[in-house]
Amino acid sequence: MTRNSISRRGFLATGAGGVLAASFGASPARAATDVAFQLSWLPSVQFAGSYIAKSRGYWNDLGLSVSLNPGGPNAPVEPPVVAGNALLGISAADYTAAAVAQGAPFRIIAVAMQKNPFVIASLPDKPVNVPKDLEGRKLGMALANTPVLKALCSLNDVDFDAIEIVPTQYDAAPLLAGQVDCLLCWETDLPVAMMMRGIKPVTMLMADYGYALHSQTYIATQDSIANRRADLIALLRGEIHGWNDFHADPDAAAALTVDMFPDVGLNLDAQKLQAALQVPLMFTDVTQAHGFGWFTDDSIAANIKTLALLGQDVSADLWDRSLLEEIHAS
Amino acid sequence: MQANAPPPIQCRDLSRSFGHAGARVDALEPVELHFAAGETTAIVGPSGCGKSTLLRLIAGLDTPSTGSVRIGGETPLQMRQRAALSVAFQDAALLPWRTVRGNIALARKLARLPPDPASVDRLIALVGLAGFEDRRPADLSGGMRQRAAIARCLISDPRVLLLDEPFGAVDELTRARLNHELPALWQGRGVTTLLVTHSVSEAVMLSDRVIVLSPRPARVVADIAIDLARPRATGAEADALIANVTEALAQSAPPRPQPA
Amino acid sequence: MTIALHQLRRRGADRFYPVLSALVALLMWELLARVFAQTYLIAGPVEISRYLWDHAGLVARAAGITTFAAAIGFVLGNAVAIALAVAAVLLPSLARLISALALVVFCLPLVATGPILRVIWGPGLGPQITLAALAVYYTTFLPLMVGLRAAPPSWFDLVRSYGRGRFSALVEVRAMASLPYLFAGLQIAAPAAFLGAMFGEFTGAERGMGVLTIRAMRSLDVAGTWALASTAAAISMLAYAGLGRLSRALNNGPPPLILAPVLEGERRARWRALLHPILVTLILLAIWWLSMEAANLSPFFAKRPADVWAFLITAPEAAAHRATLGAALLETLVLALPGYLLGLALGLGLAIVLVLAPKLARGVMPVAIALRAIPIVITAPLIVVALGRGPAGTITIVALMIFFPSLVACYQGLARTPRQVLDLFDSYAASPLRRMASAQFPAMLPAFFAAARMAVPAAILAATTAEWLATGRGIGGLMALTASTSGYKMLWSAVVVLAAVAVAGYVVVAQIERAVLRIYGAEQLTR
Repeated sequence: MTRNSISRRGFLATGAGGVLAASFGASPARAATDVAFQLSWLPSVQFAGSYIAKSRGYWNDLGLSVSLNPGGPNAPVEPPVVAGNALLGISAADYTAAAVAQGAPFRIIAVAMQKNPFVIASLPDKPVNVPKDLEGRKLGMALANTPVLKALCSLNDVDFDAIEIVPTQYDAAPLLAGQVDCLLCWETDLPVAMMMRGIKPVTMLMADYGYALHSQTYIATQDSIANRRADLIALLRGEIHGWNDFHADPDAAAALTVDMFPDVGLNLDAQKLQAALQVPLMFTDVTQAHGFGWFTDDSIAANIKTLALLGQDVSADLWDRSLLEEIHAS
Repeated sequence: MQANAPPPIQCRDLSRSFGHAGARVDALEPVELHFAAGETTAIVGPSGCGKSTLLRLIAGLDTPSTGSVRIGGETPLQMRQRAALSVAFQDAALLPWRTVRGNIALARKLARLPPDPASVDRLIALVGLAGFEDRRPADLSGGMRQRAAIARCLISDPRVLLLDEPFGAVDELTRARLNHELPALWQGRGVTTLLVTHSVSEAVMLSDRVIVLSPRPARVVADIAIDLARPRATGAEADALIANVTEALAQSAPPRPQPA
Repeated sequence: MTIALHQLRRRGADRFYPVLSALVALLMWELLARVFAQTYLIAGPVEISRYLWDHAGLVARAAGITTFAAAIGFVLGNAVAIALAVAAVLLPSLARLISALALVVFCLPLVATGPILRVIWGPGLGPQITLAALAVYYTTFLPLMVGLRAAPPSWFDLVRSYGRGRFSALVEVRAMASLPYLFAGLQIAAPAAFLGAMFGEFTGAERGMGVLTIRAMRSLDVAGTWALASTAAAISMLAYAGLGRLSRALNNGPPPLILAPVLEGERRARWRALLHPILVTLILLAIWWLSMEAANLSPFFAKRPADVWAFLITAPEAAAHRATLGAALLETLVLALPGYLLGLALGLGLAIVLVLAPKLARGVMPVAIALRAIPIVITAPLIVVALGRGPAGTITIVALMIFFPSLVACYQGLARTPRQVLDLFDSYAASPLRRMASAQFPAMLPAFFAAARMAVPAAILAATTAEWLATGRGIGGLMALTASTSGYKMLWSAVVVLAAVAVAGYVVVAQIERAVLRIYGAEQLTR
């Protein structure tokens, strides 16, 4: 199955209900509360919902003045949230689980990427269409992701030892230079880079083969959830509002992102492509039914299973849906 | 003690040794020395005999192992702190980034005296460096550097002048000329002067008294008065005194030949 | 370095060689780029120019912000270096302690300090400036320590003969005498500051050269990556050349021997020699613990000495932790050590060749200086892409980081052979090789060892950076992994072990230096 999913750009179900819901409870007269939101990577359309919420004043309307702290290759994401410098952070279920194991009092309170964005990207002349195809291939990946590959192998009965792992940095060049047959990467970045160069890679979404792991998760400390609940709820409301706008018009979101960050060197076409690719990962039947950011008990169970394969024992306590329930109930 | 009069210098039981118990080197055996106020005394001796050590002890730049130095009743440190003492060093010790003028003016600054550009320029002319005021040491010959160093010594108008082989690095001809020209600058100013040198003729030509030291550890082996009229010129009388000093120097040395 | 430029300038008539060699280099570069166009590895000068033309505003803004942070860090870091060196000179009893503390702080790996600084500073330029300052202060401190003492005793006697003390000696003698050394240090510091600022951007920033570089590398923008690398190198070289010009304008002579060994403390009693490292360690631990308590840093990520002790020594799984850490460290050292030796040997070898073939030197030295100015952040991934991710890539990066400073130091050292000694060899019609072996080589040793000492932290920085950005292996990979998976106990343990290894390596080189210089008679060589 190939997922060169430009075809999915037509997928435009709007969560209009969510938009309306998010607008309630706003009291613009209140003095704005300063809060920081720690993102996990450099500015890009990956966080377009937040940029929309900020630039269209959704948070202001809810009484928040939000600073969006950028991430980067050596940026701390969990520590500012633990230290209280940021009220909310973007993490992923596996990173969150690891931080909790190290004593961080985190809860996942919403999930942006319903489907994990990890793919195996390959070239059409030697495609990896199903996990079994990995056997005998040279796979370029960061060594840090070895547990991820092992999990995929055990989920799909693939012989891990038959895959030749080539440690690469996060870069598509080795694939194009023929140094490897395929790459372990996010669907929304290296494949986009290749498509922008006119190369159409074959991508196999690991989420379609049992790798269930919430990505781009919203994390907050238990203390904040208890004591700064109103701020967190307002923050999530604005965020949901922004992402619903994104869903309605990803191209506009891409244009807004490029405009907001003129110094990051973003390419509008690449951002549009990335936005289109991330729509099906973020907006599914679940969000259709419950609203952006929602997660079901089933998906929690699936995540716990995947995390166990990654060597992390967690319970359902890692997730806390109460804030979303409050938001979507009103 | 009157501030402007040249002081006598008294060394009591003065000695200096280096190193620890096992590898102890005596640079100077205990000596008793007295230098009269306003006199110029030359200290001669073989290379490495401790002449410079003696001078440094008198200047207070080195600490004696035993004994003491009194300059007109004061310690060397007190003398230095009121800028009543100047030292001319073997290598001239001009700071390479300062001009001739700047180097000489520095002495007044270090001596905490008010700037006196007129005196600086007068002294520069006096030592024959007029026209070189704004040159840096690297642009000067060895002899010119020593002239600048002498001018620097004099700019603070010291009562005690300690000259540590000031012309040691200068060729023989220049040296003779400097010996002829420069002493007039401080003689008659009321300065007690000590001159360390390994040149016997220089010692005789410049000083009122010559002290001959033995090889290390240094002892005083001869103390010769030089009663020559000034300005001095070479001649039979001077040659006789030079022979005297040379003789004393030769006897001080052990019988085996000294390496150069 | 400057001495080489100086000599080039003196022989102003044949500026022809640098121009020619630059043209040849550009041409070869363009050819290589065209040959490997399909591999997404190299962009040539033509493509780079086109990119810069199309994105002039973007690159200018990024260069502006990164240069701004680098400049502030440069000023602050060098101010700290000057303050430390002055303190060490005014308070000689503290000199060794200050030197040791300065070395250890310099050996802290950027991979680990970056995120901590980001948490402390929050958003903004804080980490960029701090990392730039951290990257420069030691390369200024070390030559300055030498320069502040690099004056003949009679100059100090002169000051003392007027009853003035240490302070006057500092102002009137040491300050000016140290200027050439200071500027030699500042020149090395300029590219380092830029590197530090780029590393700082990796901890989370919205603009700057580091941000653009990451973006370009991830989006297969080869022209962009190389254009950014070229811009960074050009800025570093401009700063380098500007400081050289300023130094000459201040009428400094050519920089004297950089980093002559500080052979002091020989008379120290044995028990003090033993006590000293213990004292330094205790003070470091105290600073570590106190600064974290004072800044009230969360124990989740800001681990204290006791946490590391427990993690490595007393915890039930301590043995497993040590095994993981040890294996990663070994993996790094196995590559860092050959890279270190190779870099030193190449630097030394090329310096000798250049002295024997002076015409070649006029072409090669400017190119070497130019290449040296390119930040490792950019060179590391490029080299790994070009040479593959096996040992060869990492070894090459380490060797390259060390090669240029070693080449420059050795070349300067060789050039400092006293004229009279060379005349003596000439008078016997000794062959150039004989002259090299008997006169120039020994005269160069202090400079070589100074470079070898400085190269120890540089080698570890290069190896861990290559592992972090490119291969994901070794202790650099371990630190990157543990930083992202909240394994802060392991991260801090790795920092401690790495700093200890760097200091130990430095001490070992210093011991070898002492032994060798004793044989060759340092006293006649270092002046």
